[in-house]
Amino acid sequence: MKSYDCLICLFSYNRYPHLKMTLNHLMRDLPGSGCAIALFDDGSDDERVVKLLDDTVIGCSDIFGWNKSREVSKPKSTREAAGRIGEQRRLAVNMFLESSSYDYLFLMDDDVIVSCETIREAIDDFEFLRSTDYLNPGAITLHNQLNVDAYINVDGKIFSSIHLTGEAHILFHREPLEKVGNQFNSGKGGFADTQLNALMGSGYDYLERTKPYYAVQHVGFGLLGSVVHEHQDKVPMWNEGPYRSNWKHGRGRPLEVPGFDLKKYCMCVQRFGGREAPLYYMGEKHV
Amino acid sequence: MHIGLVREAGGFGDIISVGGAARALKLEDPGIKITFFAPEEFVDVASHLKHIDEVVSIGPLSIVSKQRRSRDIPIPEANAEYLRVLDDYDCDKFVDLFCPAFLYEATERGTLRYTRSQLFAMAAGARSIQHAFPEWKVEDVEMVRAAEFMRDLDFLKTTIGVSFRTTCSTRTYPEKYAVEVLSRLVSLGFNVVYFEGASLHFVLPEGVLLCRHQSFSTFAAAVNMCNFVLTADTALLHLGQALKKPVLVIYGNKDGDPFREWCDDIYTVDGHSDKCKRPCNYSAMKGWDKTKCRPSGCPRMFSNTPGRVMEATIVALKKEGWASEIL
Repeated sequence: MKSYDCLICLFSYNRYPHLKMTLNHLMRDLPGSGCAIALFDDGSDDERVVKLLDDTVIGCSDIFGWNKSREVSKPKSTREAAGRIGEQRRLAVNMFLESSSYDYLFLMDDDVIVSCETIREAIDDFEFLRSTDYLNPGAITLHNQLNVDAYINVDGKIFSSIHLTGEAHILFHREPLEKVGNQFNSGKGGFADTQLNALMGSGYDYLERTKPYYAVQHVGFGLLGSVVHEHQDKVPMWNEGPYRSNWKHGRGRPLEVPGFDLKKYCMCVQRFGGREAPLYYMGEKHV
Repeated sequence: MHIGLVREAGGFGDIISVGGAARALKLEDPGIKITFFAPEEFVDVASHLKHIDEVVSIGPLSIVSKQRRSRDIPIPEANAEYLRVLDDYDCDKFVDLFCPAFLYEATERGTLRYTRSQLFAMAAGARSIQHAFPEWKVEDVEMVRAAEFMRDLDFLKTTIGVSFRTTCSTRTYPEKYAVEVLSRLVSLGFNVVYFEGASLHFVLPEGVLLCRHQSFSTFAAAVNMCNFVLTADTALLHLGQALKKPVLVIYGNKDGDPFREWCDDIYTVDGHSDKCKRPCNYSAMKGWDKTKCRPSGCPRMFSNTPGRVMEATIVALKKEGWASEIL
């Protein structure tokens, strides 16, 4: 089996437009990047998703397969949806731990625009921080401006330790994960909090890089852009729009990702809603 | 590898702390070349730091502070006039040593783990910060000048270098307390040298030698002739550390925690254990809370009474073996 540095686990559920856009962006520089992709679909009933995943796996040697979970009904609440995310992540971490081919594990959702180059950049940061005697990284999120506790300037980059987040752009290294074990589960907080708590409880840092930002953007925002939040009357603040350089205070510039026209995409969301916007952006649908 | 360390502001303590970053980098790679770009006023100070190969002026502080640039622009791309000098140097990277400590210290939890030198070392890309502490070079001619200045002291006695004035009023030790501490030290039979960079903010008790109007290098040489340093959080702390002198620092808050953790010969006394009558807790997220103290400790100095400072001084002197006068 080919040896990869990083296993990217991508989770999908019934968001064909977002998934297609995410995969397109990720696969642009996948060959030769040292990354492999494993796809986890949580029983989508949208046939387009199933076909897309089938076609993608067949056409690419760096994607070695995808797993469709048992037939399940649509989640009826945010809590249930979160539990299902936790279960999918548990399966992914098990798969990562059982294989010895990868040093890093990157968890991402089907609405995250990120390139393999950016993931490699985060791995380089991780490796550097691991070699220092003042930080002990257990995980790095590629999101920015979360629950910031303390900033630290390392080699000209600003990192900060954060508390907990369920954001799905988290990079793990094998060693801490093996030490604390797989703590993802379908219970309350099992989608991330239990795992991150276990890491921090074992003396590892959970970090984000706030300067410069990683080139990451989420696209599952706007009306019905998120499956998890579609049962709620109001989408949470972080799902109202694209990631910004200072979203906590509703300020800052939207984060740019090379090769992705965010302005054009935001116009599509405004005009066609969050659910179908990617199709208009990619030109699969026309006005 | 050629690294350019850039520090665009003072004061002396920060400039000296850069030496710690240079030491950490050199310990990791002795072949590395380090050029320090500093405001003109600090070039002489920076030239006394070990492990720095070259010091270059970026112009007077007044000009540098006028053209203060946005921190969002990395140094190589910054178009500040005073940074043009960097173009003449073929450095592999330029490290902007703006206050990383400030960013780190601005936390709601008030957790402090590293000294300014260590934070500079991290910013410069050092992997180990265990030995990120500055070292100062004293020239023979400076030692002669300092010896001449201190010729009236009895060098069979322990000499204590003291400084209570800082650039910030919250870190300055109150004058009434200062006079009392100095008087008590003199009455115990120590040589006491008071180091002052500007005008004196109180009348010195009799028997205290005032070191003022000296160049910083002579000032440093005089500190080198002291056996012990007692200071507020000011340049004398960093100088004492760089000269490997035992130092007792008076803090109003927990800023001394990193020194306590990392340096065996730096002692601290602080006021954070005392209950404050006027609590003030400020959080960037929640604003002011007047019902509890700051997690970083009370910034007020008044709880460090002369009694507490003297007690801590004597403990430290005994531990360092410089307390024969009182044994």
